[in-house]
Formats: sequence, C-alpha cells, structure tokens
Amino acid sequence: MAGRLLAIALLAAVAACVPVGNPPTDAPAQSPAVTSLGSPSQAVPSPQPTPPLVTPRTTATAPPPPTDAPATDAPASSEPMPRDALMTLPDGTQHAGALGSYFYGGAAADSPWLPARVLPALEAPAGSSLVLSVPPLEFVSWGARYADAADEEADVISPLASGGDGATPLESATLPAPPSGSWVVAVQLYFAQEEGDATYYWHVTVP
Amino acid sequence: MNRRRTILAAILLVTAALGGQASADTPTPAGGATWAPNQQVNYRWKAGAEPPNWLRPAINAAAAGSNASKASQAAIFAYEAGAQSWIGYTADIPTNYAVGYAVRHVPDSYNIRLRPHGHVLDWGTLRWCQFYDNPPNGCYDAELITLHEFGHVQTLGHVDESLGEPWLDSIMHAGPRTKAKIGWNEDEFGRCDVARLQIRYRALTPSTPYSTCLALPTTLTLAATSTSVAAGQSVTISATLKVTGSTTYAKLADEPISDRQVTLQRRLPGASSWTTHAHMPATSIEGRYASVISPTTTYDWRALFSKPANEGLNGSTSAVIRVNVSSCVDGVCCTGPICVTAAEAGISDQTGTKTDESEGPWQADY
Repeated sequence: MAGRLLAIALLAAVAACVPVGNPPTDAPAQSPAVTSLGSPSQAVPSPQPTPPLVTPRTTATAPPPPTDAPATDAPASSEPMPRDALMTLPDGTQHAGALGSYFYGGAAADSPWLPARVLPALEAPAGSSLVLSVPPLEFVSWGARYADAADEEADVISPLASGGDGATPLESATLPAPPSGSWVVAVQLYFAQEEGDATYYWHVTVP
Repeated sequence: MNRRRTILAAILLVTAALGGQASADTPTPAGGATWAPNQQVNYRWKAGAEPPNWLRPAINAAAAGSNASKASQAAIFAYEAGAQSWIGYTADIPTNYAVGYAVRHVPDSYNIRLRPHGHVLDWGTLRWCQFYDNPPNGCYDAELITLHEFGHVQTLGHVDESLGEPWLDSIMHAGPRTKAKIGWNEDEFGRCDVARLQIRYRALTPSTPYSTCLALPTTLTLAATSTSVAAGQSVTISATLKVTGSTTYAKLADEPISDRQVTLQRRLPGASSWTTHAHMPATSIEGRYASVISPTTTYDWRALFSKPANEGLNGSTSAVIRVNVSSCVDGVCCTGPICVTAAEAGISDQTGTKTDESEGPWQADY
C-alpha cells in the first residue's frame, strides 16, 4: 500500500509538471440544458461563460433521486441513474460522456468497454488538463484509463490518472490529457455517501 | 515534451504495477440497504418477457452459483413461480449500451433484465453464448452476466478498475468480458466479492472460511479452570477465538471463529521458547477450543492461532496463564519455595485430588 501511495504521489507530482492550458476557473455553477443526441458528435468551442455541451446519452429522461424505494413493473427509464459527467477542455467547452456501466440508487446497468465510434469526440491539446465533473453530484474517488481508439476490444488498457481519498467529496477532478493519439478514455467515479459508481467514456484525440 | 511523456508513461507503468500488487486485497465496493440474513428472495419469469428456454438454465445456474459461493448470510435466490421478484428478457434497459440490468427494492424484491439475443446496440449486436451449440468468440456468457446482476442485487457495486486488481478476484467488473477472454465464463463470486458479502452480511457460519481478500485481526483469549493444582491433577484450558472487536467492519467485530486450528503451547517459567503441547479441539461453543492437561510441574501456557494460508484471518496469541503445580509429601504441598498443608492447598490427599477449600500459602522451612 505504501508503495502504491508513493507511486500515486509521484504521478501527481509529474502530472502537476505537465503544462496546462487555461483550466476554467469560472465553471458554471449550473450545467446548461442537456441535449439528447442519438449519435456521437463534435463539440464546437465557444467563448466562456456559456460553454457548449454535447451529450451522447441515448435516453433523455431526467434521473430520479437515488433510492431503494419499492417499485414493481415500472419501466427501467423511471429507475435512478447517474447524472451526465462533463469533461471540460481548456477552452471551456464541455462534453458529456457516454454512460457505461453504473451502480446507482438501487439500479445497475452493465455495458462493455465502449468503442470510439459511439462516443462523443473531443480534441484535447497536448499536455493539457481536462476537468471532470458530474454536477450537482459529488464523488469521493475516481480513476481514468485509456485504450487505443482502434482497439475496440480494449485488449490493452492503460491507467491515466486517479484521485480522491474515498471519503472527501469532490466537485471536480483534473486529469492529464493522454499522449498524442486517438483514444477512448474511460473515467470511473465513486459517488459520495456510497451512492454507487459510474463509468463514462469519451473519444479523445490529442494532436 | 517527449521526455515528459516518457517520464509520465514510466510513472504510470509503475503505478499500474504497484496498483496491481497493492490492490489485491480490496473488497468489492457496495452500497445500499442489505437483505435480512439468509433472506430467501425468489424470482419468476417476467410475464410477457419470459426468457427463452435455451436461456433459463443459465439463469438458474447463476442463482445456484450465487448461493453456493456467497459464503455469507447474503440473500438466497431460486426460481419460484409466482414470486414477487422477476427476471425478464427485454430491451427495456435505460441505455442502449447495457446488456444486463438490475434493480433492487430491499427488503421486498428485485428485477433483473437481460437484453434479447440479436439486439442491435450502439456498439454492436448482442450475442449470448447459450444461444449456440458452439458459441463463437465474442459472445456473452448469460450465466456470468446474470450472476453479476445477482451481485448487484446483493448490493455489490463495480470494482475500482483503476486499482488494477487481478481480474478473477471479482466478477463485478465495470466492463464484462466476452468469450474467450480471461474470466468470461466465471460461475461463482470472486474472492473479493465474497469478502464484501461477508463484511455486509457476516460469514455464513462461524466455521465458514473468511475470504483471502480480507485480513481480519483476531483475538485469542485463554482461561483455565484452576491455576494452582497438585501434580497430575487435571485442568481444563479453554481458548476463545474471535474477530477483533475493533475491526473496521462493524458486523464482523467479535464474531466467533470456529473449527480452526488453535495450538496450546507451554514453557517453563522464565524460559523464552515455547513448545507445542497439543492442538486444542473445538468445543460445542462457537469459537471455543479446549484441552485438558494434567501437569506435573509448573508451566506457563498460551494459545496460538497461526495465520491460515487459505483464508483472510490474521494470527493471534493469547495472554499467558501460569498453572502452578504443587508436589505433596506427607500432607505438605510445595510449589517452588512455597509450601502449604494439603488441606490448606485444598488437596484431599497426596495423589493431588483438589478439595473445595484452600487457604493461603506458607513459607517452608528448608
């Protein structure tokens, strides 16, 4: 464990040395209205403070609050599900991730590693930092991994960054952009108050 | 920049390697209200969305696999016509990525949904291995997916994939694998799934081995029916083995641990090394072990529980008890330099049978 902590500390130190762009310091307190799209799309950079938001979610229902409350034959769409996770680029554009597997509020869905062709695409400057958030939810730990976009089976998955102590609620997390290339980036979050976990995916291209 | 990337990649590799090593003992995360101990929560097929006949055996096998491998007082699952909970074969799943879905309504019921074979999702076409006589690579094992959903019903979440935990430690991965990748057709909970079930539901019985994904501290206490006896007189020494009360897992605190190997050791007073006297047999009391000794000289005694190789318990050693042995000659019993009359020592005769009464020792005149 000590070794792992040391490695994480080293990683954090190195990540801190990676040049960053202009991480948004005035991220909006409230997310823009979520639009529902049926296919991956491109985000269009725009000036702050009203960053565009793109989401690939294939359902448009607002998730009810987490609960183990009784239900019987209710449609699955009425069950709890995590909010959209947003990846904010240095230019302020925000991209909603594709929601993969989750365990949240008494409901759980299980998806494979998602291929790049179904994911929201974004281009991150080399060496930049990406900011992750799931407004208004807080999370206590997170871990990011990435695989070559061409590797649809995700036979080789590499760790990118991780953080959180498992107890202290976080409103956002900053992770380094992956190396140059075309990648699927998956971020797994553990929500505060043991509400569960969720994995979100993006197709990230780094020139 | 390239140098920075190289350094970063190296650090990431180190992190991954250390993560795999350090995280090998991370119980699967969980959350939400638990079922009652050993609650039987049966399922039926959802009306109008009944699984096809080729799929049902895999579902029932998953339920059996959960029951057989939970090693805890987690819920018990079985098919029962008319049950409140149901399992459906339906595309009514919130995202167009998921192959399986579970909702639990503790303490009453749960629902499990399996996406139909051939359904076209955003990422591709779902294929269940059970559909085929000779399953092709790339199909999903319905038994594993259903067992995974039963895991969610038991309140298990997904493992933290960033820790690099060995894949087979859990079936609760955030991305299920297809044939023929490692772990694609597991049919029982992984050891770190079992660990969390034991944390949340207690072990099935005090004799049930604890998952090796745990490292529970234990406490061993020792007692003797008498600590001052005549030579050859019988004394029963009892040891009690429990999970330490201060463990971070509240439900496991002070849980008795039965049917393990507890060793009784002794040494001469003042000696530093211990020798094994006997393995203490388990008694009918949970967590209790006992041996009857008939010492002919004074010894210090202790019990020892060595860390087992096959389960997640740490070893422990009891406090030391000294059993003083008196030698009686002509009605005078001496323990070292201290001598009393047999009557005062509570010993009825020179064979060392102890009586009901005794008084304090007196100094012999040597």
